[in-house]
Formats: sequence, structure tokens, C-alpha cells
Amino acid sequence: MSHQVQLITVSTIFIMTYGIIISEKINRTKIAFIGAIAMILFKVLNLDEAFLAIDLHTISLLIAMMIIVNILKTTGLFQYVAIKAAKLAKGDPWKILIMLSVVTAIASGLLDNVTTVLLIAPVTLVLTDTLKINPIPYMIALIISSNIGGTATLIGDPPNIMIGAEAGLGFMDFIKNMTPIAIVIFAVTFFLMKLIYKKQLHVKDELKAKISQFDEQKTLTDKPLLIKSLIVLGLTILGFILHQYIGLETSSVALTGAAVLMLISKSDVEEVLQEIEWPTIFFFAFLFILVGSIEKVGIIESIAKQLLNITKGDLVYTTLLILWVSAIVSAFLDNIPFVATMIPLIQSIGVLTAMNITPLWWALALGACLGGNGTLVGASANVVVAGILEKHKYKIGFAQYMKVAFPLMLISIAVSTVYLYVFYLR
Amino acid sequence: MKLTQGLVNVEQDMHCLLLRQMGAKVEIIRGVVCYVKFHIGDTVVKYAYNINKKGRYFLQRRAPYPLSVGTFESEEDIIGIIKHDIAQFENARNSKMFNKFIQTSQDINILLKQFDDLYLYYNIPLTQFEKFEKIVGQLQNLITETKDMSERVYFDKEPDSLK
Repeated sequence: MSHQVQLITVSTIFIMTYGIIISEKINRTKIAFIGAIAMILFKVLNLDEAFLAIDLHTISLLIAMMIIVNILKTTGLFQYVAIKAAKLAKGDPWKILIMLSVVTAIASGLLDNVTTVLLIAPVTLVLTDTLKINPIPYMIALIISSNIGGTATLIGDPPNIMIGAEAGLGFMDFIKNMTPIAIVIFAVTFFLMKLIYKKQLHVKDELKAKISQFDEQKTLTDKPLLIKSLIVLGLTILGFILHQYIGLETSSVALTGAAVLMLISKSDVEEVLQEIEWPTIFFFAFLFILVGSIEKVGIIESIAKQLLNITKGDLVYTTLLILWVSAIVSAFLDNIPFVATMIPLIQSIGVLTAMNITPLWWALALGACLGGNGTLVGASANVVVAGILEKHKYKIGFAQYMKVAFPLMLISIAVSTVYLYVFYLR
Repeated sequence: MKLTQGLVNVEQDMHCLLLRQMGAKVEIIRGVVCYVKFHIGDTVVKYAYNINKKGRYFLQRRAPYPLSVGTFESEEDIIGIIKHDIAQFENARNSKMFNKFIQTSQDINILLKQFDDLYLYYNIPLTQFEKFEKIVGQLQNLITETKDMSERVYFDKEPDSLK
């Protein structure tokens, strides 16, 4: 096959696959599977090259964290913390919203966002039912705090895991560079949310008192397992903090934690493994094959050259372009395929220029993670929360969500712009 | 709306949270629920049962009238019970009384629910309760009397509740 024909073939498969993923007409894993196989059938990659294109660091880190969470969540820890937080708020609806958002953001920094909202949403709904109050502001806060919390760490959101693995950025790099700005964005966002929602959140005193009747101890179902899980999770996080010093990848640390917890817990191996989100894992693998294909035929390098022509190789312009484009794209489209494509693009920019590309990685991480807050389809957690609300007869419309969340997202990107400019680009 | 596994987990977590706050001990056993349907002439016989790894299987007949058949130790037992039940229905269908039997069974089910509501929602005087006891005793006698005067037609399995 001539290079020209190969370029057309690869571009067609890639654009068609991404187009169908974006349209959401067919399950994203199924269509990514077809696209990846097409790349092999058309001999863009052979099977060995396809397997090599899969970033096993990202895949194994995701699987390992899912195993740890699947065991930890059976202990009732998350419900305990959420109820405790609500009780500390003494039934005050605004304080409960803030407390649950803080819990969600912290949990999201350690777990993936979808898992976090699936764990916190049940308690939130029980609390709002008890207070006889509209759950929509709480669930919007849940979405926003999970996406901001996920931005803060290497393991908080899949785009960060992918960026960390490919850019060689470690857990502490994310803590030093992303956590401070995530905290600032959380504070700014919830200050603005207070202005939007505070007046709507009123509850009678007798209903507030009902919150104090919840017994958080009753949610803890297996204390020995809870202790074991917390020890393993604590050691895993310590491993993340030290991984660059002890010469281990984050994925190796997470896999060790998962293996040890599987061994010392009495959890059913089949059940724990069944609970892993295999469709997501396979989706990642197929995307890596798709992106590996366009990288192999030189499309990524060509786009990188075009981008550098536009920005004239200027670091400030390139960084801010990546930040804002990532945010706007991620508000409407799945940020995982976008980031999977952007990673080799940024690597190509690094190869083609003498530019320090580290700010570009932070711009991509901030844009892709925070952009997900913009619309109801911006991130998987948003879609999941919308589904939970619909199941509970509280439909949240695309426009209704966007009216609140899109301006908040733009403000968070504006704050990020200032942050990147002051600390990396000046 | 169609529930994804994530939404099922949310529902499960909400139920567990509320039940545990009520003081319940909740054990989650993962398994599958099988819905089974037979057409016997115009009559639809439906069952629901679960299969799980803990070895406790619940069988419920859902139609033509609901009946909790029981808890069994293996899925083979469940198939055996359904096999007999279906054979009995096929046999009973030949009777001219079949439709009356179905109607009466449905009425008894409604009666049971009404009695449940009556006791749980009202403070029933002892004299009224004794009337119920007397009528139930009469019904039990009627069943024994009817059994003794009727020809047995199914022999593959002994009755569960009639000696």
C-alpha cells in the first residue's frame, strides 16, 4: 500500500471511529473495537505493534485502583464519611452541600470520578429525601466537585493517568502542580455556587433534626476489612508519593496494593474482578491502538507542525491554546479519546521544537478534566448523575445544567489561565 | 429507563443504607433471577427463582396465582419442583373445574392480603378473631373431607401439605 493510500485509509478509519464515538449512536467500546481491528486488517499495524501501542501503565493502574476500590467500598466507609459529614453540618442544607462536595472532591482525587459519584450519590439522595429538598443542586455540586477533585491528582481522572504515564510525570508532580490550583478552583466555584443556590436551600427545623438521627456506625459492615483496606490504601498512597524516589511506576505500586488487598481480604475474587469496568478498560486499549496507528503513519507529526505554524512556536500561545481548546472540546466530547490524541501531539511538539513542553501537559490536564464540568455530556460522571436523577424522577435538562455549569467551567479555565501564566509562562 | 450496572449499584446502596438505619442486618448475595413462563392451553404459568453461589434458592410461582413455593438447596430441586407443578397443572386442566380452581385460588390470595391488612391496620376484638379461627378450622376440615371423598389423580409426587 502506498503511503498516500495508507494515509487516506488511516484517516478515514480514525475520523469515522471518532465520529461515531462522539455521536454516541453505538456503544463507544464496540466502535473503538471495530476501529482498532480495522487498523490491523488494513495492515496499518500488525498485531504485535497493536499490542505495543497499548499503554499498559495506564491500563494496569486503572485496573489496580478499581480492585482496591471494589474491596474498600464493601466496607461502607464512603457512606460512613458522608453521613458523618452531614451530621457535622447539623442538618443545614448549604453546609451539607459543601461537606458532601468536599468529601466527593477528596474521594475523587483518590478514585476515578464515576466510582466516586456512584458511592456518594446514594447517601446524597437519602439525605435530600430526609430533608425533603430538591436533590438537583446537590447532584450538580457532586458532578462539579468530582471533576475538580479528579483534576488534583495523577490517579483522580483517566486523562491525568494517561498524561502521567506518557509524559513521565509522577504522583508528586501532580500534587505539587495540580492540587493547589484545584483547591483554588474549588473555593472559587463553591463561592459562586453559594450565590446561585443558597436562597433555594431552606429546610424546616424538625427535618434538620432528622439528620442527627442517622447512625453512621450502622453503615460500617466489615470493620476488620475496613482496617485492612485502609492500611493497604494508605501504603499505596505512600507508595505513590515515594514512587519516583524508589524507582517504581505508579502502576506497579497500585498493582502491589491490589494484589495484597486481594490476598488479605476475604473478598470473593470472582466478584471483585467482575466489578471492574471492563468496557472502560477495553475502550482505553482500543483507543491506544487507534492513536498508535495515526502516529505511525505520521499524521500526528503533521498536525503538530500545523499547530506550531499557527502558534509560531510561542510557548504562551501554544499552552493557552491547548488549555482552552481542551476545555471547550472536553465540555462536549469524551475527553479520553481527545487526550489520547493530544498526548502524541504534544510529544511531537517537544521533538520538533526546543520548547519546554511541561506547561503543555498541565494545560492539557486542566483543560480536559475541568472542561468536563461544562455540559451534562462533558464527563462520564455527569452522565451517570443525570441517569441517577432521572431514575429518581428529577430530570435535569442539558440547558438547565449548562446554564449553571458552563459559566463556572469558563471561570475555572480563566483561573487556570492566570495560574499557568504566572507560574509557568511568565 | 434502562438501569446500567452503576444505577443498579446506586439503588442497592440506597436500600442497604435505609435498611441498616432501620436496624436490619443486610447481606448482599450476588446471583441471577430467572423468570420462567409456560403456556398450558390458555393458562400462563409463571415462576421466578434465583441462582446464587451461597446455595439458597428461592422459588416463587407468580401466575396464575402467586405462591411462595419455598427455599431449596440446589437448582436441580427447583427444576424438579417446576416439573411436577407443570405436570399437575396440565393434569388439572383436563378438569371441568379448572377455571373455578384458578378463580378460587386467586380469591384466597386476596383474602389472605385482606386479613393481613385487617390485623395490621385495626385492633381486632377477640370475638371477631375467634370467628376467623373457627372459619379457618371449618375450611381445614372441608379440605380434609373433600380429599377423603375425591379420587387421587396425580401420583408422581406426594402432596406437600396433605397427609
